[in-house]
Amino acid sequence: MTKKPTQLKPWPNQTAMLSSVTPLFPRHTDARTFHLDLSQVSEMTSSGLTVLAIRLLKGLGSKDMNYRISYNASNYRKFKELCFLECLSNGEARQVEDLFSLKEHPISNYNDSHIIFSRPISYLGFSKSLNSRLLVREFLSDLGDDLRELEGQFLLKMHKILMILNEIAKNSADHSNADALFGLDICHYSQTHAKLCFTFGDLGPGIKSHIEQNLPVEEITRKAHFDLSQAYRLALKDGYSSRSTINNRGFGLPIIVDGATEAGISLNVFDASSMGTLSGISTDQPFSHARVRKHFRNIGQRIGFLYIGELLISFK
Amino acid sequence: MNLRISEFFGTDILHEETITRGIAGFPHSFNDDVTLDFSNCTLEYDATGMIIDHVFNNFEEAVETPRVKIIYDINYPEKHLLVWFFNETKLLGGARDLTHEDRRSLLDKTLKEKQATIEIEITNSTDDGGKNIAYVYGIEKNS
Repeated sequence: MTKKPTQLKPWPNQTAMLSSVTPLFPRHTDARTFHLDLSQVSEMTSSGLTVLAIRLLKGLGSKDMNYRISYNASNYRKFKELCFLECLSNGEARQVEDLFSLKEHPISNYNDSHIIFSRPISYLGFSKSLNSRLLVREFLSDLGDDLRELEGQFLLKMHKILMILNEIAKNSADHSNADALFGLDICHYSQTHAKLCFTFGDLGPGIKSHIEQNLPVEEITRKAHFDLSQAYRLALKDGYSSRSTINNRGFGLPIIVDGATEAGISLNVFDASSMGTLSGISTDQPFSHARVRKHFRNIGQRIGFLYIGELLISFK
Repeated sequence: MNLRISEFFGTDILHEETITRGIAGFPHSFNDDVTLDFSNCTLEYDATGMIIDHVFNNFEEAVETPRVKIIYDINYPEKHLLVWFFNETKLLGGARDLTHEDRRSLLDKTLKEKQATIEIEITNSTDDGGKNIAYVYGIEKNS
């Protein structure tokens, strides 16, 4: 009898993914050029490369950096398919030197048999868009078309995923003032299940910093003593918005975390400036300092602002 | 009258423009109970509000106790369902910054004034076929 897989644990399940990204952080060859050696990477996913791209774009900061990227023959095609280079060069004045293509190596020994579906990385240029909500709708419409094609293979209501991603993308568009990236994959997990993984990241300051920078007047005097749990208590409070407008009702993050729970998604929110991740929290109980601390883990490094979600789905 | 929202407005995200484009093909008069089936739809507050207001504005006078049943297939907590379906409706009179309890009370009060009932039914609350869940507001609510 096949053992039924349990729900994925949000943490430390993703430490493996993070540790695989950390060594890839580029060594700089001179003040303006970073050499990214990916020649030892045997397999890559859209969601994993999105983490790497966010880490590079956010970590390097300066807009006039150049990248020198080395591949191997077997992963070159995947880079092309997933539009990794295009995402890096979408930052202003960035140049990406594609070393492999200059060598014109043949494509060989390429094997991604356990990856069922990988979506090319989406680059959402919120910072330059006059109507970022329209950009979100176009992105979700394209994503919806892709996901609904997969409904024939899996027991999953794809609009559950779309509902959450819509709220994530709107939050990013409204609050980050920065561009965002998105990657999604479905991989074989067992004979009966596959694993859907997505990464949505933006180049903004993250939740804690954003909340601190946009405190309501009555809270400003407390800013110096504002700790992590107080920032998250505000962010997760129904109806609290740091930027109250016709588009911002203050339900985004509560809906995201509760929606993920309902959909069975193990969701981690990596908060850029506070170097930690919030996982497995919901709004069904009052927030206390102890409760936020229980769900927030410091990872000791800045990887940018990311939502990383994983979900086990059954084959039909 | 049973209305599948995705048949009128598509399965893309429901938003204001989608509703404006599709409303011409949507019924404009209701003489009996109405069921609005939002299954498979990706919701936005403004769009759901426009549809629900349209229905309440177009009940025929002969309907003394209007009844609207809302069907949805994602089991969000009641507090989120009330925001998604009613935050932008005239039923709440533009009062958006309410607590969950206040939002529920105001909805109940308004519906009782209109002698109306709204039921939200959540179908198949889990992917492997859970029981349906129902929330009732207005004159049929068990106090």
